Amino acid sequence: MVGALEDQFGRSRGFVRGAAVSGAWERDAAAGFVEDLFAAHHGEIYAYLIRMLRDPELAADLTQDAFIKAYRNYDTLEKPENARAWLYQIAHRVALDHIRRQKIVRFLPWTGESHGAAPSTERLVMDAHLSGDLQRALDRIPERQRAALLLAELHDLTGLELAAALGVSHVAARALLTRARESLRQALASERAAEADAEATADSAAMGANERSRSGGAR
Amino acid sequence: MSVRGGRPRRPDAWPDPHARARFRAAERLDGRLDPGEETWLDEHLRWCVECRAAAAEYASQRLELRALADRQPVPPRDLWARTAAAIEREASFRDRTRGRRSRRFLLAPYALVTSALAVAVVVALSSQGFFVRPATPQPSGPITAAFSPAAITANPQPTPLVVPKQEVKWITKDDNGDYQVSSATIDEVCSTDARPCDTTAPSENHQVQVDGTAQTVVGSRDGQEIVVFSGNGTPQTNVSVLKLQPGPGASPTPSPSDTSASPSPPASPSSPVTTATPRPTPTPTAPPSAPPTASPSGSPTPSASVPITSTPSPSGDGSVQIAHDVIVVGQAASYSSSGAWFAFTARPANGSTGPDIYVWRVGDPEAHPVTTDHRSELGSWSVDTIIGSTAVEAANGTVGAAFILDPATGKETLLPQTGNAWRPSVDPFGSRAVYWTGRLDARTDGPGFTPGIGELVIGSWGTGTSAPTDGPHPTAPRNQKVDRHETTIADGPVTDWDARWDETGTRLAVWIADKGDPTIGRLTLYAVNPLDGKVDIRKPLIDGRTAKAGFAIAKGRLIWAEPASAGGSGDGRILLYAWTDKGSGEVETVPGQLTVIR
Repeated sequence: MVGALEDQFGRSRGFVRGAAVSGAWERDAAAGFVEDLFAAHHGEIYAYLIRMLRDPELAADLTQDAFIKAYRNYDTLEKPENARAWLYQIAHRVALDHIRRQKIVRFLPWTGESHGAAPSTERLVMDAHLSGDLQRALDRIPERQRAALLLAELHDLTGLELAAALGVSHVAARALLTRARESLRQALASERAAEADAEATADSAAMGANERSRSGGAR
Repeated sequence: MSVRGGRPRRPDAWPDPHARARFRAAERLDGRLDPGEETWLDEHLRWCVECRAAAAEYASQRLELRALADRQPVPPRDLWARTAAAIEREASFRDRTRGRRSRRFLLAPYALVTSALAVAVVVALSSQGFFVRPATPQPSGPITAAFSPAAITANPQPTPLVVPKQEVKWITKDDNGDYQVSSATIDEVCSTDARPCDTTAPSENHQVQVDGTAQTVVGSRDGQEIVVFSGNGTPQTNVSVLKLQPGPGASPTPSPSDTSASPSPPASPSSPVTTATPRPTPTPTAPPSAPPTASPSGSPTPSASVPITSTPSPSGDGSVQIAHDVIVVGQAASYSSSGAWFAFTARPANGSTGPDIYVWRVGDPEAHPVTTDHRSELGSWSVDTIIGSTAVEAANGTVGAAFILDPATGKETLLPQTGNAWRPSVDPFGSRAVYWTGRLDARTDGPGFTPGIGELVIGSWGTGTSAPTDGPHPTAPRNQKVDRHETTIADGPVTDWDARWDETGTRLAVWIADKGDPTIGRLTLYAVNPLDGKVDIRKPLIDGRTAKAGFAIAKGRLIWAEPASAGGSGDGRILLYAWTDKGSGEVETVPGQLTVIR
């Protein structure tokens, strides 16, 4: 994929590395570049964002934002072979920015009827099918650790790509990933323990109800 | 993944040996450790049960994580359109001081890749492509003038409306009974406000072989194959998948000729489908000199027949019959959003049971039913999930109940909160749907159900008033009309209908069959308010145009077949209505006898 991008952007499109998106020609080149980048990677970027945020509509919006930022910052990509990691870096920052904003902004409820405002019936049902303890555990670990795990395990980024996407050194990326594995292990254990407790409580409640029913019937 | 080169931490910097062991065990999943640490870890794990368990959990959770990759979410189909528009706006803003530049290239190529394939079946139509529709008949040789470059030069007409370039495909049948897949690239139409105008879009043909008469054709998302429902004059139908060969070049040949005069080998009835040699079709300078001689489809019923007990019959070119000896029910046959699945409703041609939903995973040898109650019908797709409906008995008679169904596992979940809903066609956001609400009556032509007293409506498809359950009997909302904000499109009984949304969810096309002839109906195009999702049915963009069963809507285009009687020329034709933010316009084919468009 990277090779194909290099062909497309480095040669056939006359891609000028480091060119600022200022003149009309450069902007056309940037638009063509982003167009090809979108065709090659939009699916995985969308998948990454939906896994980070668990909201299809939001993931679509942020995927769009990521590619717009890629267009604006076209001149910051030094090597075409790094385009994929560079794009992940942009998407990662877009996701973290959104998460940070969510933490500091208090949303007011929107009461008007809006297209897509209410989750569809299919989405609710599919969410219920897909939300397992692993996903809940992932949601509980720090965002940067979650990103590291998703990028490494689900998106197959190499060590160098992971470091570039996370915007840290190679050593720091590896350490982050290692800490993420331990965080997920603990979160998963906690989730499964809570699930077992809930089942035990439900079982004892059911047993109690049966006991009461039997004793009531005996009377 | 492989990460190497982690800096070894000093052994005495760990709070305890177990923390060190767990860190290293996790780290080892991503690359080799320093040899000294490797040895130390192995030694520690040999005697420490808890750390060994933690190491096993790291490996296990890694497998669980990777299993999530199998559930690849599918992006919205309009994502590129939205992104390109945003980039376009940004570029335009920056260009203001430098003057405007054309950036159409940004929208065109990807649209070609992702656009849904519009496929028409044209019987005995020597189609040369699309041309802009004149508003009024020209006094002499109108078709000639429309196709002649000289005429365009000598008689300048209003400038056509430029629309994003898109390939449109359909099927023609010539006098020899041979079928050809034709394609034309449309990048301009005659503006609704400034007709007539002249332009041409020559087509390119690829011969294919179809067993019997093609009744309905559906194109795959990638444009590489078509699903053909064909029969031999009876409702009994076979379903075959044909691989399409890529065209020899991007540019169609515009030299004059008449395809109806081009001899082609007769189709072999014994071979269901094959792909043959591409045959470029030039644009003629004169209208067809002779009327089409081939007869129209012998069985243009809306319910094409499809196979129930399928016998895979792959041919040498990879085409395959995926179902046979069935009767197709309804108009909902379609590929899933990802293009990985194809579904349709069918019942056995021998009348032994009622309808079920059939699915075909692209690449499989045959389609198979995924419902078994013999009273289920396909509504639409939500990405790769089927939205269907089944007939259930209620206090006021038989009614429809919607469900979702995973085609891979067959797991079905009822959606009681949607109330009484039959054959729901859901918009890309899962917010609104077109469905039948009311009573279902027993069919008179075989097992199954057909709408009785009730309404075809647009209603909310959100969460409603109750949560989804797996209960066998759906419970309708207390006041469905109010709770689901239903707007009536047509009062029942309705013989048949087809409702489809474009990929942006801002256009909705609804075809409703005529009572006298279910193969012909009225096609209406509505605009959907992008802010609140509401449809003002009093102000349609296209209002009740006569159309054959089956149409395509995607990427700013609505394509349908007008039957012979409505064209005014004695032949039918394929029409394309296109819209952009700058206006709308139409284009149409040379007249011919048309059967189905999808």
